[in-house]
Amino acid sequence: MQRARLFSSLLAVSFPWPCNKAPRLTNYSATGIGYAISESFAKAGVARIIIIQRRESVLAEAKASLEKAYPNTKVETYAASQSDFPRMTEIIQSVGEIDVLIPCATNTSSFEGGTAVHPTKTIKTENIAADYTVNVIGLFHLIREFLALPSTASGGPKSVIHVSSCAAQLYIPGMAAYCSTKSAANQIITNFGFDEPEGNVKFYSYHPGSIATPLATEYVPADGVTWEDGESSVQYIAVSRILLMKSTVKLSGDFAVWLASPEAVFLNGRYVWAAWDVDEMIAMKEKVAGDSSLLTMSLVK
Amino acid sequence: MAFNFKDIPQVRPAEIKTYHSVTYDRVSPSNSTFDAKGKTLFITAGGKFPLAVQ
Repeated sequence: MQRARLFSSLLAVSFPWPCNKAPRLTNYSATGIGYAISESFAKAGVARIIIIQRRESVLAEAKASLEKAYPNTKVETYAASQSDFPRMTEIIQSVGEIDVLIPCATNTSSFEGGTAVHPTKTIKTENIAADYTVNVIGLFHLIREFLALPSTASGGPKSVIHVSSCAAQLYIPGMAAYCSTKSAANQIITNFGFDEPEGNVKFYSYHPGSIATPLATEYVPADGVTWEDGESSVQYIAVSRILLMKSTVKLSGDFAVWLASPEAVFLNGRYVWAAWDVDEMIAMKEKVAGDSSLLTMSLVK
Repeated sequence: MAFNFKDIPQVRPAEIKTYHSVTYDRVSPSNSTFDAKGKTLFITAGGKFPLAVQ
């Protein structure tokens, strides 16, 4: 059970959408995790949502759906890539006031070559560089420009929430680039968070959870995984995929809202899973405060 | 050695007993302590794919 969950989690944030053999720069979430986050914040009642994505059609669909369901939330969209640093600076400065910054874009051009597992030594240097440009340096740049806004100096509380992956913790054959970018980005979040523990901006990384996506099932051999419902992936696709995806991806979104709440402040600089029960995490508050290596990229004691 | 996806180890890195796979009341945005009033969310890759499954 847990293995299936873990695997679908990895896929959920690992592969570009739709399945495409061509190498490319991506700046979109593979599974709708980013949209689920947007929707959860709209449900919470934010006044404004700024969405950055490369494709106009994806932006238009988000704006139309969100503004229809949540008329009190204004949605603004910019067709741009997280790897375009000057453009990100320009957009952030024009937006002016940001309370919650969520770097969710992930690049996976190192998966060039399709679904087969390719040894690390076969990854093209330019592809791993492209992954780092978006997933690590792009994330750093967004945060840096956000912190340069006047509103972060005195206002508050504000949050930066990095949509990470449990891939940050794992060896997964063929995914050297993806796994290591997620570890690196987690480290950047920890450094920002620990630099100014009393600051009015808090920093978090989280693994968004077990999302059984159409793409995940596409990549998984029919007999390769025991899915959560105990069905083979073929039956799974036919019967329960859509329902499960809808309910699990909601958790990814709702958990991000919880991270932005005052209850999560003790997790500043840390990395957590959306699957973890929030009250059990709160029960760990003193332990977390007393151990700066806990819930970070560090050695297990 | 051939890699089998079934061999991916379980990873439960903290002392959490309760794992959620679907959303639950405690994290519902409707009764969150996050004060959303007047706030701005800035998100990359927050769009929606125009697909029937969503």
